[in-house]
Amino acid sequence: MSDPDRVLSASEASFHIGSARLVENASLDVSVGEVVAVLGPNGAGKSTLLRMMAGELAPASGRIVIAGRDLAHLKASDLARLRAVVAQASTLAFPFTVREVVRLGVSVPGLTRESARVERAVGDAIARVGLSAFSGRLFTELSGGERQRAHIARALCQLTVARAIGGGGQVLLLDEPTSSLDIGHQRIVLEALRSEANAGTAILMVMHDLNLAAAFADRVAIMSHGRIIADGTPRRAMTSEILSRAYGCALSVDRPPAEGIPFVLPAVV
Amino acid sequence: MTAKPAAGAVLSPEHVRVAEPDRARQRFVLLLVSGAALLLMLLISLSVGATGISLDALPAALGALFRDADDASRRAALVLIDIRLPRTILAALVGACLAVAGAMMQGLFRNPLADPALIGVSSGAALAAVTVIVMGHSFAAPVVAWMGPHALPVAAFIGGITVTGTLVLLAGGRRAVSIAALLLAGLVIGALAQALMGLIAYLSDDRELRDLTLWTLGSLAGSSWAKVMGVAPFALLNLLLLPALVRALNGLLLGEAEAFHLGIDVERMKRLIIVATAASVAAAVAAAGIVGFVGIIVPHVVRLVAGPDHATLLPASAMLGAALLLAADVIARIIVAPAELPLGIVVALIGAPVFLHLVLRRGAYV
Repeated sequence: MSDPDRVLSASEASFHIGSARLVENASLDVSVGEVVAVLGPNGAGKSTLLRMMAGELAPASGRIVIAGRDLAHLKASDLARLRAVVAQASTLAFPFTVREVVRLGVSVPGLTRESARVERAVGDAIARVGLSAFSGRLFTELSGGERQRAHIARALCQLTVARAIGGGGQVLLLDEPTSSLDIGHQRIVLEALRSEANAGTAILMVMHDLNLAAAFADRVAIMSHGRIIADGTPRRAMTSEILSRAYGCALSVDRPPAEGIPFVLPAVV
Repeated sequence: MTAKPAAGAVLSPEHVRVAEPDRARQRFVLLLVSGAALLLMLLISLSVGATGISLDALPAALGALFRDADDASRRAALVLIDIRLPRTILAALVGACLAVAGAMMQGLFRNPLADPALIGVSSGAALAAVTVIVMGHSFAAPVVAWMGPHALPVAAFIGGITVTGTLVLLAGGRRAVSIAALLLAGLVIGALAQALMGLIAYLSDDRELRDLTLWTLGSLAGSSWAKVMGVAPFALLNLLLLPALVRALNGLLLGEAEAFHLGIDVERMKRLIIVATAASVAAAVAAAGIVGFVGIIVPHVVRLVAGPDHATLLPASAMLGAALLLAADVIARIIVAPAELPLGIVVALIGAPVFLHLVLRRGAYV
């Protein structure tokens, strides 16, 4: 807890629904400028851990600290100045335009809505995810991937504006941000996220694509049955032994010598 | 790196740039037109009626309040000040409250068909009000007499908040509300309230029966300053709450979890929205009985023109709703003069076809 770089950390956090232990004693830190990917099979507790660290679910035991403050004591509005969240699937009841959706990220209390600076931040965020040509489109008419990028732009905009008013915008949490994107748009989004990390934002994201995570994340946390069973750089944590245990099937990990980035394939029987 | 992504290189050519709707201008025009429509209808409502006294009698009538005047001016003053003005104010308040209540419920339930009359909130408020009317003749007479013009609005508020709260519980926490479940629950609650009102009507005598029936059809006949005083607090409570609800209602359109991510205290805001909705339905029902469709037509028209941003939706709906109800009331007053059609019937005759049109046009949406 003493390390000032650790801007988001869970210590011994658990979450139960009835007798189901969705997350059990999870401890995980994310530091300034670091990208941490949470990996694991379906139902391992990845999204639940993310939602706890976003403040959406209160841990049954353990605690979450964000920017040195206990998350349990933060109001929703204070929290929104410190972190932005991109949830998994998101629908919209009525047709906002893309620009209006992204502008919702700015409507954090205490921020002016209409100033030119805000409009520039909105436009920049839309450009960063490659949606400039769509900013006037109705959200309800977009494809799944375009909606996902609009939400990422909304979160980026929230961070930018929170930083502009001082002291905020330090953490970004994303639940499978690249799952419905084609490879070109994956690149655009990951580039935007990397530049966000380079600007100092701590990023925690749930990912399904092991190879994308291996190539992109600074650190991975691998979950299985609600527990974090490995936490480290992709090279160290993503071994065939650990991954096979987590996913419950035989996986082989190749290490091309040049970069040393692990490359995961299902082991062919 | 402010990654200026090579958008052109990645996007395929069929992604043609679409002209961004100029929402700021649309909003301005819409608010201006709504305000003008409201002003026009206020003047028409004041100048039209069975007595043939028109608006140009107003200056003389106002003069008659302060000094001796001839009988004609006194009569004009009586008609304008004591009959038409309260009725006009009530019509405007009822229309504004119903339209805003519809807009808020559609936002809260994330559902385009939510309307206080369709999903039973008006019926719940009406049942409570009818109960008070009948109790006022029997054992609860002292309490009802003591509360005076406030008895009906307070009862309607309690009825309305009970139904809205029940619907929120039924709709459940994080799941998006299924239209079928919501409408079915609302229909059942509405039917139950109607049945209980039927029971009360069955037990009442002929005169009470006619009063109750006309009242549940919706009417502004018998408007008075006392009624205005009873209803105004609830209408004002609602209007004062609106600015605080704009951000929450916008955020809730993304979903409850997303609203929380944006910094909205979701549970608290949901409670406030329920209170504001119940207050506006209570004001409308206590003043005019059950009037349907306003809450569904007006917000939809506004959304079609200016989009779903509640910063525009709520004030524009309030003004257009008021204008619509004033127009309906004027028609109700003059079409079978000197008798009156029930207001609810007039609004339903206009509203039902428009509603059907919206449902069919927006089929994919529902």
